Amino acid sequence: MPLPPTFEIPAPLEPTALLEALGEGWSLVAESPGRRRTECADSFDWRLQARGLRLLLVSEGEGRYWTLCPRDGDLLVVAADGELPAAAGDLPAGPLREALAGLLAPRVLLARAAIEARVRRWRLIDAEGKTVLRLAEEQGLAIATEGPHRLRVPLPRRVRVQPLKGYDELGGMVAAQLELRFGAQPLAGCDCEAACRALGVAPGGYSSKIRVSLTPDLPGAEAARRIHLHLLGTLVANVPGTRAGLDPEFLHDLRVAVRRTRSALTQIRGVFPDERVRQFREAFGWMGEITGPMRDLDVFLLQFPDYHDGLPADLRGDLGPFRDFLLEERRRAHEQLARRLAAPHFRGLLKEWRAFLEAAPDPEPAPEAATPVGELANRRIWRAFRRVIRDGRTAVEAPSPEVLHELRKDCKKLRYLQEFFASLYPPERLDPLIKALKGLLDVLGEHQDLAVQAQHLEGFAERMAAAGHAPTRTLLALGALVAGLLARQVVARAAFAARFEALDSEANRAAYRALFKPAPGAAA
Amino acid sequence: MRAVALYSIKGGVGKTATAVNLAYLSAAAGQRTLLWDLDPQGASSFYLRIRTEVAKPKKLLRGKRPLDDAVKGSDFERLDLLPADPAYRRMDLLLDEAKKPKAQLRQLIAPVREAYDLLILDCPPSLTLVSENVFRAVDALLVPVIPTPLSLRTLTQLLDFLGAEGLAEVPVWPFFALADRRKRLHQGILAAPPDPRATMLATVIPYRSEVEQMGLHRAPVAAYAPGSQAALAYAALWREVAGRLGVAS
Repeated sequence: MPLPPTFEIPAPLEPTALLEALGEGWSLVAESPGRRRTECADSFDWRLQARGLRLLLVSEGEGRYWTLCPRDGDLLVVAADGELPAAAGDLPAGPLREALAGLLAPRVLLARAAIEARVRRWRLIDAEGKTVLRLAEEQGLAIATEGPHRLRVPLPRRVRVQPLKGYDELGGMVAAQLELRFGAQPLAGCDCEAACRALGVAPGGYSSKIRVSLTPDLPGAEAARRIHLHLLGTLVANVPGTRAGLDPEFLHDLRVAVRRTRSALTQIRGVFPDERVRQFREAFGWMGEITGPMRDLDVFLLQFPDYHDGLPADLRGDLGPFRDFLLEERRRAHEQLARRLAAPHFRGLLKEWRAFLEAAPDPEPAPEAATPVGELANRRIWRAFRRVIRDGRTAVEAPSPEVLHELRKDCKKLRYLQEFFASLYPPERLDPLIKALKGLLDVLGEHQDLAVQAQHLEGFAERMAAAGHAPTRTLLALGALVAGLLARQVVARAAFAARFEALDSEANRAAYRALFKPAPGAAA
Repeated sequence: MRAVALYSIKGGVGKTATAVNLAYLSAAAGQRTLLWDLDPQGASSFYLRIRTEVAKPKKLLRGKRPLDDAVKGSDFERLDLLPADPAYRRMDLLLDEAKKPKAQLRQLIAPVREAYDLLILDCPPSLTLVSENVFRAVDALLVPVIPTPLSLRTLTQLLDFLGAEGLAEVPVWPFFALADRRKRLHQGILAAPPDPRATMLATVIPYRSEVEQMGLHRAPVAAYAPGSQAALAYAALWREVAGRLGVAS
């Protein structure tokens, strides 16, 4: 069925007045009033919203059900047996799980907003005594599910007109009377939109992507502050989800924000006093360190199905103890991380960093603090690019793991700079450059990840053996995994040269030169 | 979606009452349930207060118009009905025009498989092309049998027919209906299993006046006489059937 037409209505619905308006032959039967709680479900980064989907978890009396509302098309209503937060795999098997397959993992569904409503209901009955339409009047409160204050905002009184299947034309008739005689205003969209609007929650408001708007003449220090404040916002937004261990993406996004911050501190050089930069770089280095072990374990658990399927069939069963080991390690790592994220040291660092970023400009500014960011960005990106080309050419000659690792770091610096300063360049010129760079980074990233994973696996195997939790066949299975990873690393290395060639092409270099190369005479 | 048919060669054995009550119980248990009234008399439709009329019934049976267009919501949540139509008297002829006359019904219901968890077919009594279509479209045949020799004979006829048509694997779940324990004849037959090829379900639907009153109330028994013996018997039958179908009861 499609979304039932909903109306905002100024005064409580008066059944006798509605019957009068409808004319002879109809009756309205009141049903017992009740309460309804509706939770708007989406992932932290609004993946369903991005696909034009809304998912509601509705509890009414004894019944609980999921309702999926596509932007257009029919509602899907499915009995619910679980609660939020829920992973895609926790949803009841069947059409709902199928509709969301591949959209969510590894993210979980969270309650992004809720509505609690008192509901009065009627059934409209025709001359045959047959129910043909249901009416529900709701008086609700939108309730915030996130943030320190559980905001509660009253919603306007609403009436829902739900003709029974096969009696659709009556919906129009009743709706017309509601509008004509009761001042009802049709409402578009589903309950999620109304609740989010009332609470000031912006669906789609979170993204791990960098969205900073700069103009070329902005002083360097001010531009850097804006970039850092944006990154800090992303970092802070992911702390509660990381502490609660809701899904692995919170920690991942948190770590990316930390890495970008460190990179920005070094790469956007000379805009802040050196001493503060050094101090904060150290602080963010520490954050990178304390979050690393947990992320490594998340990666292993996320890849576990691939590891499993990649092994010869007779060894697959022997990975069981390894999985148990990973889960136990992860549980411990999470406990420790959650404690550290709640501790005064971590909170103090963030507070100090924010205070620094929000403070009035330094009376003794750093050398580049006043340099227009357009100039600064050109200079930094051009320099980073030339370095990538220089090191890349060396790597083509002798692609050793160490050389490729260094090259990857160069590429990441260049990539981050392009992200920080993206708003300064026309997207149609910048995007192709980012694409070529991403192509190279993917190969280098895989090469490095495979090496790190192989090294970690060896470490895990040793620790399992030392703890006496490692049956011989499990160690054999891990050995086979390591061999598989190293073999894939060789393939990734072979793919490197072609990707680098695209970046080092005449056309690509000319495009970089045109877009970023500082005018002769600009400060070096 | 699972599908069952209330089917009997003989009329007046309680097919429609059972179809409506099981459909109601299925919906009440959370299943999205569709009841298709295939009997041109339209008793199921009448019980659910829905007019026996389908717009363009011939197009519907030829597959030129989706079934879903003709579906009507009942007074009960999750229970929908495909009403009967007088044109169903000639359903044999209409089905015979299809490319695969014996599989046409199966074809027609394919598009609603996603929208419903259970389909219940209320079939007209007879052994015709319609019945053959039903046999090929469902997961099981629920066959009400009055504990009389004549009614039992039709069960045997049905089993013979299925055997001869290569449909012996279609599950046949007969159960006693309209049973009156005051009658010695009924007592005797209830005590002795009838046809060894099909085991009777354990539930016996008794002959009760509450069931006859469905026509007055125009509702399933459980909706107006929830604690009655008939309502309890239908509930027991539903649990048995749901268990065999693997759906929630």
